[in-house]
Amino acid sequence: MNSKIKKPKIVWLQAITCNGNTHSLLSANANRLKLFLDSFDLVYHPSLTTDILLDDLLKKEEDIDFLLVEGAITSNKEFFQISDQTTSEVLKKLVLKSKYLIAVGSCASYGGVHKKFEQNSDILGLEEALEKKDILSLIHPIVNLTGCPVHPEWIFQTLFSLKEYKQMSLDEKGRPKEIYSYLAHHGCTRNEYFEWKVEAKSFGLKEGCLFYGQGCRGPMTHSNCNKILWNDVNTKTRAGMPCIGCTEFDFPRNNMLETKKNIGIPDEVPLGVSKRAYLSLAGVAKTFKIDRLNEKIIK
Amino acid sequence: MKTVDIVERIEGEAKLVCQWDKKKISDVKIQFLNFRGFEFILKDKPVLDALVYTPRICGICGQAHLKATVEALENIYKNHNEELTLTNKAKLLREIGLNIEIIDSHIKWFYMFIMPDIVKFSQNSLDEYSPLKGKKWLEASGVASETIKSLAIIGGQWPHTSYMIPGGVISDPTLLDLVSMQNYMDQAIRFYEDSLVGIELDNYLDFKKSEDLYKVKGDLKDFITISFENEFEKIGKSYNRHLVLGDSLSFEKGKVNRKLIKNIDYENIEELTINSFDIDKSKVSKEAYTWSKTALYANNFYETGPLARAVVQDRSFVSDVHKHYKDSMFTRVLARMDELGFLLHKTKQLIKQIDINEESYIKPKVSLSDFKYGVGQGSVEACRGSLYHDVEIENGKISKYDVITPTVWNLGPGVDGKLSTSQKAIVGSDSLEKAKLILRSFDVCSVCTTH
Amino acid sequence: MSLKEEKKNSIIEKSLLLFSKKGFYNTTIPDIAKAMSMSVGNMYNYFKSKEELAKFAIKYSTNILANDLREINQMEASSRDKVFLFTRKYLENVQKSPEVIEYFLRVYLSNREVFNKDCEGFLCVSEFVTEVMILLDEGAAKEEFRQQDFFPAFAMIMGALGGFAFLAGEKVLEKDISTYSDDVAENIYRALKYED
Repeated sequence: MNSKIKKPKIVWLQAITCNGNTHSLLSANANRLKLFLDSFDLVYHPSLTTDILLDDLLKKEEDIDFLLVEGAITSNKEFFQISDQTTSEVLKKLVLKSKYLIAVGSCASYGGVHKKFEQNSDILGLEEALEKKDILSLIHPIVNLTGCPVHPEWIFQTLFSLKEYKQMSLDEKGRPKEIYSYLAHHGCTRNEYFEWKVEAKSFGLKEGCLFYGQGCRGPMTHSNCNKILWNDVNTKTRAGMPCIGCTEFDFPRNNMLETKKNIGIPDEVPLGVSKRAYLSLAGVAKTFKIDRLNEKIIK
Repeated sequence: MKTVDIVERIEGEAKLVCQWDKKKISDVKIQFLNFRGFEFILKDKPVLDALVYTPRICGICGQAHLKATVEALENIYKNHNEELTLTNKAKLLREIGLNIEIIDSHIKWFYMFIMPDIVKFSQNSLDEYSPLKGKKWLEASGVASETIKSLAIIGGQWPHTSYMIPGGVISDPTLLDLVSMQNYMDQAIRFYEDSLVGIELDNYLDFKKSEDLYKVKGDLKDFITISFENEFEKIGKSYNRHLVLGDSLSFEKGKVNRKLIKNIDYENIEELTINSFDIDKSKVSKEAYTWSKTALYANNFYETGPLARAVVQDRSFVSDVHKHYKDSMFTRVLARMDELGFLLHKTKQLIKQIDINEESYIKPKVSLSDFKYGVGQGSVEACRGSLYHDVEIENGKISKYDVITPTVWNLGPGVDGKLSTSQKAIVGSDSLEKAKLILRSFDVCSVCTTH
Repeated sequence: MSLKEEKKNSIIEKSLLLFSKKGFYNTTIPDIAKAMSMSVGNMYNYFKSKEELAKFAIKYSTNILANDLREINQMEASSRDKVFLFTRKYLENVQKSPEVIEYFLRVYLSNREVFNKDCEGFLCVSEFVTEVMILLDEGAAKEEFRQQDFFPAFAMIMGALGGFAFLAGEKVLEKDISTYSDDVAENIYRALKYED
């Protein structure tokens, strides 16, 4: 590591959040986290750094390369304040010193879970909370890393590639294309059950696809979870928990642990597939009972 | 004289407002100024969605909320005379998952949320504890992230999974999966032995007297040494009342107020908002200063957490340290690190007890939506202490959801002239730094407190 | 459509008429060839066996229904209207080409041994079943139809329509078949409709 090259400065801000994204970051593969800490200067993180408080940070003149924000934003001081100010005020002050702004997690991207707190109508993601004049110093569009929580690799890969290539290809929702063009469905170990429309008979089984009854949103959700795995070892759908679509802008929805059906027909079918196409194929697949797929994997 | 300081690194922040008299803190108010409104968010949501929402109350103790939710929901079935059957396998997988989360939290807490502050009191620089850079900080962070993988094996991921649902769990691990989980526990135990206490776990768990403190080596010894050098065993004492609401294979419920009573009755739990903010402005008193509520058991303030658990369960080593040093800041921290060793050992045993041939999940015969009305409560022992959930449902939707977190028990505002547990612990401190240490010794979770 | 496919369809159409007049088992490939003014050898260029022809015929007949229902599904109309429109179309088909519906009712449903290889389950009627699914899915999504299991809902529609086609085939109806259309549709609709 050429120590002459100055490490880009990162400031992490926690707004209206459960801190889940921070703990996701800390649960990253230890080697990856170490490389990250070696390659960037994490100037301030409210859960980790001890040499500076938010108040001091706000008073400093120094520029910030990457401002990472976890949590939703509000200008309502009664409900939420940090360092005697609203999250909106703190955000705006920090953004003015920053080159890149990254929304870490669904709450920072569009409000997430906290938007459901209707008693405060002013709970927003970063994009909505900032006006044009607030983001004049940014040299790149806001990057939305949706997810509840975000996967640490999405943070690392975004920062490392912005550090190297200065800009990143984003989809129409501001999410890095190379991460969010995949579907959570890609790489799930239950794919064969999906192919042959073998429904999971209940929760708690290794066998069966969770799409038909347990509400799995994998085929409709943009993320690469089943490609890169969580905590190096697994994913929810592999373990037997349905994908709840936490990277999509309609999360959280209603009845997330069951599949919405209309007279037995799934209300939503895989992204981009017409209902007619899906039902035709499903009909054919359902006709053939493949014995192997209707038995236990391990007998 | 009054001082106002913001304390960070407590899963969020809080404001410490101290009144000083003759260089000692005569009164203290701990202000939690952030409110996210989960109890309002949950209203009118479909019942089972609570399993997705409540883990998101907290990023570090989400699985504790999940377990409290699932138990409260299963309690609804019980109150309807439709008690669900859970296999031992399901019960074990739930408790193992929760324990792993606690283990991960305690490791991070010691090295990230308290040692950096403790070492400031030392004569030596102790660089190795430096956040983000120090060898010990990095090693601990690595061990925590490795250990949590074992939870991902049964839950799919961490943070935020909903692998526990009424009737059991959603996963069906193989024997090889369980062996891998044991491997992760072994790695953590190796860390505990090599770095934290410097002796073999079995030998550590044999400790019975407070004199055994001198046998401790490793990083915990640094803590013990600095503590005695600065007389931390004399500060931070509160009412010395201890409460454990959750009963499990690892912990025993009970309370200690001079003597131990094993019986817990939820009717004795009272939540007050006398000094708390409220959404309904008409209910807010002029004295209100925090979004945290007050929690009382049988009209008294109690401490909850690892120290309470060790005392109620009467684990020899901590009990003896407690006998000597009461509920001081020192005892509180030691109890937490002792619990880490205890849980590593216990959890490994629990994993071995699983019979993979049992079912993971037994589908309830009726759905919660079939009940016109229902009530249920659940309490679990979370990282920081007793966590309590109280839910009411109507026609398949949540009509009321109440959460009392451990930090509310410990750091809620005092009422009617009585100091709360943490207030009593802090009053009398002769330095702001010590006051903050005492605050931290409770292992505060700010986001949970106000949810 | 290629010339070969067009020719196949003509053969099927003629076959259905013959099955209707002479019966399925009494009609042979040579019979069909003669009616088509084709040589038997040439027939085998289009269908290797009577079994193959029989299976193709079922796809052909249900695809007529499938096409009609697809057209109706794609309209901007209420699900109630779609039920009425489809019922009318179905009964019109019964009137115009009775041999088609008869083949389905009296050959396909009654001679499973001919069809149980390569025509299992919904395999040979899948296009039509898909359209019924789309009709039901849309109706329930719009809350015009109430939630229920798929099979009772499907059986409701097919039973009402098929049963009526049977009555028409038996020649017991007193009035012109199209005059019953709205009554049949109303029965189907009431069985499916949403209740608060």
